[in-house]
Amino acid sequence: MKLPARSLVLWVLSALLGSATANEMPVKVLDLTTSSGISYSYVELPEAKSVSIFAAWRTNWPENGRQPAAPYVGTELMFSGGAGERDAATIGADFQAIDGKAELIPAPHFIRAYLGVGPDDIDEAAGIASDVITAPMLDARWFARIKTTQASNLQQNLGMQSNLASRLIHNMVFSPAPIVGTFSLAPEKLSTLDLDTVRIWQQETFHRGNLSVAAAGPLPAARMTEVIEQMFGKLPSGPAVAKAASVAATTPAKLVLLHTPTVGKSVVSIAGRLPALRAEPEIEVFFATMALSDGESSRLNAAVRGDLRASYGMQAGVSNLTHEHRLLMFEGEIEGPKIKPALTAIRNAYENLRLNGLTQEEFEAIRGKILTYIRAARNQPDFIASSMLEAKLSGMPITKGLNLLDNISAMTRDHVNRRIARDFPAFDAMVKIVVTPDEKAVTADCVVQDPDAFQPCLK
Amino acid sequence: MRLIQLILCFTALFCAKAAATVNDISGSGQLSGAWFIENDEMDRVDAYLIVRTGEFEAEGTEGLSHYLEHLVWQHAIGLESEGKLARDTNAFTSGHSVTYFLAGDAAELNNNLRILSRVFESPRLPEKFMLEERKIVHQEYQLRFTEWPWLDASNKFENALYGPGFRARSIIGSPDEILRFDPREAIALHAKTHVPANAALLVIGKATPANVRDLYARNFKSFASVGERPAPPRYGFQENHQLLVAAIEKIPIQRFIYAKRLRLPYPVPLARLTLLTNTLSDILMSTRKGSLAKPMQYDSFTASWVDAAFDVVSENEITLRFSAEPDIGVSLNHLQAKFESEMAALAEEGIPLPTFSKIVGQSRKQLQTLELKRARQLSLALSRINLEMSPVDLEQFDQELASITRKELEDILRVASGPGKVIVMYANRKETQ
Repeated sequence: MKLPARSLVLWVLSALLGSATANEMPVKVLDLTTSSGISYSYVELPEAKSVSIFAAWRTNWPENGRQPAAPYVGTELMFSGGAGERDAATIGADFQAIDGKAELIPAPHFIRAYLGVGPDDIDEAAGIASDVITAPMLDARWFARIKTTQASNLQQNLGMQSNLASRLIHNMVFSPAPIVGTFSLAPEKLSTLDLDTVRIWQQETFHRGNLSVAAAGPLPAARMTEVIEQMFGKLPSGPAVAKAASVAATTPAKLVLLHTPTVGKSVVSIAGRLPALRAEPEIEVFFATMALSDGESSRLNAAVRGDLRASYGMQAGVSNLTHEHRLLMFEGEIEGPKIKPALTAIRNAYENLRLNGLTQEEFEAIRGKILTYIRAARNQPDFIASSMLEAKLSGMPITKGLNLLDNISAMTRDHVNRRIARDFPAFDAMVKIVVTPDEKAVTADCVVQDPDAFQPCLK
Repeated sequence: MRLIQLILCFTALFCAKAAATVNDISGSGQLSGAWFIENDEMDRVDAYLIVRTGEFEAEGTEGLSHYLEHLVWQHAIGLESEGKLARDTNAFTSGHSVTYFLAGDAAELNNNLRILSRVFESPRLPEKFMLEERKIVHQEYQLRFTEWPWLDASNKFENALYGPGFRARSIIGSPDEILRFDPREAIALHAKTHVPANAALLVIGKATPANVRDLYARNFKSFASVGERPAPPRYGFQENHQLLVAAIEKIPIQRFIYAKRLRLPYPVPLARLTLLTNTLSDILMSTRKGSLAKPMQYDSFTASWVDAAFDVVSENEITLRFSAEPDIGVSLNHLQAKFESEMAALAEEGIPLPTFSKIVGQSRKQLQTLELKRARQLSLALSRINLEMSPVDLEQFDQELASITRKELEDILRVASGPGKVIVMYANRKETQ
């Protein structure tokens, strides 16, 4: 009966917690180096049934004004179009046969890679992964196919109300920083992308100078080091990539009506900037967003669905666009005539939380739910390896939070509430977007029909 | 409240340990079935009450089962204010069932089962609330479907394939129907479907079989009447061929969509048939010889994307579904011709042994490398209950996988190339017809 499905809760937690690998018995992190000099962090888990390797390459591609579509098409092309001696069909068949799991995930400041497989098949999997990373075919026919498919999907998604709202928010908060183009890709960027640009992007991005690696699994450390060498040892050397400079951005405290005459529903989307990710776990944010929208009794849902009967439900969450660009967001479909009272109800519910914090009952209920998931995640190679990688990328000490279970058990309501009061923006300082076919649904500071026509709303 | 299609074989989590973990506790209560799966990976116990009539078997207003689910769950948990913040709950309607879910630690299991037993009580809610709930469902519809560009085409296609009624029924209903739902009709549906004889219980988590058995008996053994299982309506079909052309202005995608209802020459138990069709679908989608994806998507650049799957309709009937998007410069007509020729070749030549061995081996390998088995146990158990079968241990499931024969799959392939009711849709067809 509740809206939020937590199917990805472990991944969300690991991303939020950085190095917070929960374990009742502290795990031992080994800092190891392969024969050709690839450094990585490893947790040996003798009971684990799979090996998990997470890697990331830091990039300032968008900051440098480069073609923002290249990482999106490029990662899919590397992944799907064949590599090394194997064509696309063969590589797919070989990887499927060992039940390998892999991803290559583009984001503005990092390209992340994941490989998960049983220990008996790790050599085959690492060999395939090495080819994908270092010797992708970047075939012209596959490039054209992927570009066309992505353009169709982008075209299909662009007009959806929640995407229109996101695009408008990104524009209003982060423009004119070049990185905004990667948060909401424009169709013309995709259509003008050429294969040579993807080749340049691939060569500039995948090298040793910007690489971070973390792994966990049942293999002995020496054996794991051989695997890491097999997977990354063919990478060329390259220059270190500096962390991107901070972008000064303020959230315009405006109420904007985005008029969509042809869509028969209304969406409210509200965003405020959060501080850059600090060198500490961020579990407090998770407490707050769960208090706001986890279940029908949560604050936003009790107010908007329960009391006002205006919505199926509201979602609260954090959009971690980069470590620097982070937004606290609330979003939900709202019955058109009730948008105005819904905004008031959302304001009251959120400000009550921000100013007065969680109740003890709320705090304990949420802590119980979080601990339940963390206990289940302990000793899972994927969770541990991804947590270590995220800690590295955000500059946290990799060992920080290894006793998270104890830390959360000992966490107090006052501590969480202080963090909420310190970091969360006031409702009146947030940008509110109402996407609706009813031009008169609310009295807005400005009305636009195109999320890219946002400039008048900044005045 | 999630509208889900319960599908076998997904987010695989499993451990190869051999302990038998499924306990049949049916004899302790009055439901049509009850099972407990021991699992201590999380320090909590989940309880699922499954009403074995979903929208596909319902009659009357489409979407009423889902609206009723809202009312029933508001009645059942709305009466409970204590501990509501800590409660983890959900309810969802599918074509085959309506499921109510509560989770908590072992100490809360008795209370959670008591709440679940209220599902059989006729919803007692203020009239105003029940009427307003229609708008909440309407908002849910807007959240999920209003902007889904394939909605009209999908409705048209499913109606041609299965309609009227049956699997063409919309689980949530249409926007107009939703706002006209009659709470009295929903309550009448409740009386017919939400009875102990038409429900099953699944408990999974950290508890002991004796304790769960005892709590099941305590909460599900004293019904004055257990009611009767409503007989599901039966639907047949005529072999024929229909062509639909959908102009879908909202999306720029061309797509060939195909389905074929097929009669099997002999009945196959539903669990077995599901296992076989899932495996066959994995083969068709693989990039190996004997698949559809390899010749169409990889070798020839005919399709940029393909998808093949089966509906298991009954022990005597399945439906083959196929969708594909043409590659650059390829017409939908050419795509269809390629699909038909590849299907005919597959039926003629059969499945290569290496492909069969690798695909079945991969499914079994998945079971060996799972770090956690809870999610896999749960999805398998719920799908079996939806098939009117008892849940099985993962080890038994592995044995079932190992027992699949190439001949069984090739028999299905041959049926798929024979007569049936064929529906074809061209989305955004650009070439001259």
